[in-house]
Amino acid sequence: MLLGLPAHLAPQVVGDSVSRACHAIAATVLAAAAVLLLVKQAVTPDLLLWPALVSLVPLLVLLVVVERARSTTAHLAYLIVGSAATYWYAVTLFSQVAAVQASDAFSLSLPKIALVMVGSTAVGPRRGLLWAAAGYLAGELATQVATRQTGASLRLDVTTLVAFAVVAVVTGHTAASRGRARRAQARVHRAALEQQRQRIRLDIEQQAAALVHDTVLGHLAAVSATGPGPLPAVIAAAVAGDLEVLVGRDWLTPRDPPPSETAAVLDAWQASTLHAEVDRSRSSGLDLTITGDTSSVARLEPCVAEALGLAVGQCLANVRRHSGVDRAELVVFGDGSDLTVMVIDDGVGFDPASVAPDRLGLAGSVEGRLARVGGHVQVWSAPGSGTSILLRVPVTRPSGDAVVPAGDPRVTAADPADPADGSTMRVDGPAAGDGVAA
Amino acid sequence: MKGGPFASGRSRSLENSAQRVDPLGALAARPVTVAAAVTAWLMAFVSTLVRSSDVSSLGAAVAALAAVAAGGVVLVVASGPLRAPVPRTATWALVVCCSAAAVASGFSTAGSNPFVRDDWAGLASGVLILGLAPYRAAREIVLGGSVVGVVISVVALVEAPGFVTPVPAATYVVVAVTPLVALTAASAAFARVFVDHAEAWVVRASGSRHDRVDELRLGLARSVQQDRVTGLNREVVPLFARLVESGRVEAGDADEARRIADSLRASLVADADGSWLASRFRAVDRRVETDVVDPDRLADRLGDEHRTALWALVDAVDDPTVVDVRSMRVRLDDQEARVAVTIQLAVGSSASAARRSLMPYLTVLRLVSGDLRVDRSPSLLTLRFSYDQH
Repeated sequence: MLLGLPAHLAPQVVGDSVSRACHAIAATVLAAAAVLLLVKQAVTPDLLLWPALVSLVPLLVLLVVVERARSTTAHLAYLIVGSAATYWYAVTLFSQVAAVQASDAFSLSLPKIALVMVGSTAVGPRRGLLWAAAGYLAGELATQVATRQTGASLRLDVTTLVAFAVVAVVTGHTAASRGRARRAQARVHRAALEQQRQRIRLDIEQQAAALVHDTVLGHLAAVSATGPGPLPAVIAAAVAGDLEVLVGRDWLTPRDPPPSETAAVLDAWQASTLHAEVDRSRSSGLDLTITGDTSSVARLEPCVAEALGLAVGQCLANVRRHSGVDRAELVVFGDGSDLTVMVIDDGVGFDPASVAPDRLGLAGSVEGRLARVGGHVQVWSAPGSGTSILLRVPVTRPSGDAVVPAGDPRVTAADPADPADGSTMRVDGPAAGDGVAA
Repeated sequence: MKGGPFASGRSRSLENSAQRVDPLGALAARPVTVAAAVTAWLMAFVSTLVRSSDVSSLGAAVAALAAVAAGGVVLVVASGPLRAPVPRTATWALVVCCSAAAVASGFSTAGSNPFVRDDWAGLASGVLILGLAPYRAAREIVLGGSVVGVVISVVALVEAPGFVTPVPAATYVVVAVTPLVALTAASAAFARVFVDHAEAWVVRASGSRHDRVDELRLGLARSVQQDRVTGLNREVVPLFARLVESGRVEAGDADEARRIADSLRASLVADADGSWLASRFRAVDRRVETDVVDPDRLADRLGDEHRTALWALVDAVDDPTVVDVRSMRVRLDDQEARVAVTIQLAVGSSASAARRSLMPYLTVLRLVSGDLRVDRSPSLLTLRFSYDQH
């Protein structure tokens, strides 16, 4: 999350915005001057007003150039040509319009204000102020000369002076406003980075805990349940696997996706973590029936596929440890946006309400894992009536953050209308089936 | 917060305000806002005073000045840092005040107003609308300015027969509205350009942040793995290595495996305990003693923006050069769909001084939460806000 502009960028952005605001004023007053001339000319066709109208054209053109180029040359050209144009405009008005006979007439202020609004704070507030002052002086000089030449009366033009004062105050404040608020900005940006870092770290910690739980902790429990004698082959293989992982590869970074898209759908299933977990459970003696569309695993993002595979692996481990049966069914089905896997057994079941809230198995290894990739878990079980676990993950990962915050898992009563099993409890989160702490 | 402040896209820059994209920039611009309010009123007052001979209705003149003052008050009050963001109603309240000032000012000089160029309503309204630039979106500023412009035009047309300059009525309208149109255009241009720049920066910064997040993730993953491996190397690896090598389970192995499993499990449970906020408060470099009451881990449901604002506040509270806080108490309560957060800061100096020192952080928190309230007692600063449970 990025809250606010960084301190080094803010003065430039404010400067440019003030500059463009000045140009908007310049464009408006020049347009107003043109409209006033056109109205006057329309009402009194005898007057020779077109030279004044023409003099506004180079000013407008150069304003566009200044707006686009922002170079010293453009600003200089705007002021020099603008002064000449203002002089020409003033001479025309003094000689043609009876109502304009003093140097502070409203129509005369308009091009002068346009000159003050040369606005170039993008190059720094101090220089911007100098350009505005130069614009003010140039405009005044041009009208003073025109006034003297035409014999009109010389008066202080308060309107233009006020316009200059406003620009000076706003520009001056831009230079001075790097106070406490801007210093705080650095802290806010640092906070944004640090909280993101912490979020990622906590997320990885949870993943690591889930992995340690599924592997080392499970196998320690298996060893502790074994009496003295030869190490059973299954446990020996598992323990050797743990050692290889612990001293070997990166276990917290996502595995690379299959090398080629042509590795086809069947290969994707064969190569998936879900398939590997199914194999592992079968080699541990579980009679596992798989139905449904296993090829839809190919539609998952690699990190989602891995999380789903490991979560299903943990569910199957729970069946082996706790269900009291050695048979289970795995159903895989996908629709447009989700992939769903159900793990079903006819074992002893359990009462989800009686599960201690600090149990790690389903909370961390199943619920936590899926929550991180935008998925969720539902458990239906009751003592004596088997267990069904439904794991659902999105086919495309939710966009936005790299990390999907894991929710706080809770136990909730099942919706009685739930077609799956109205008589049981539904568990979203920590639940039984954790063999290690048993 | 709906949509978030950084929704991108060209058309959004007309809808978004500078305050939303840069809350602390708006805070820094506040003196200009106050200056705009004061200037608008002073211009109206001085103008009225200088042209006192034109005033035919003193009551209407006073009403006009009161309306400009009310507009200034709306602007200053609505832009208060602890009221961020400035609501849409503030724009329309300002429009009503400016329109009322224009009408009352017209009445005050009815029948005795020789020059339209001396009328101050357009300029004063324009200056007030300029003051809105850091807080409201360009489109709304243009709309508000247009409404006031229409009112001022109507007033000028009604007054037209009384003006002495022999020009068409259209000229009076142009003269009357030019200051307002120019300043409204400036205000809208500022809002638009600022938001454009800020959004462009966010897009650039987010792009490079995505790359950095991947790198960061990789680095953190290695560090976490190293921590875990170091822990496991002490007991688990020697036991497993012995088992694999000998292919046998000896008499004490089962007990040792159970003991290691118990301690490992306890450490996993301890690590999984506590919200992000609790672990933030456990950071080693903290100075202020803090008590967190959050049994349901509601803090974990805070969004990124809230976390950032809160993190920065905690950081500032710990900095003795910013504020003298003795202790901090944070409490999160479940209130159906929302979570109520109460933060109490026991301060060494006065609560008002502490509030002033923490103002930038409170502004950011106010802007992301939308409902931050700050209460003071002599040595206690209490902050309250709430957020949706995701």
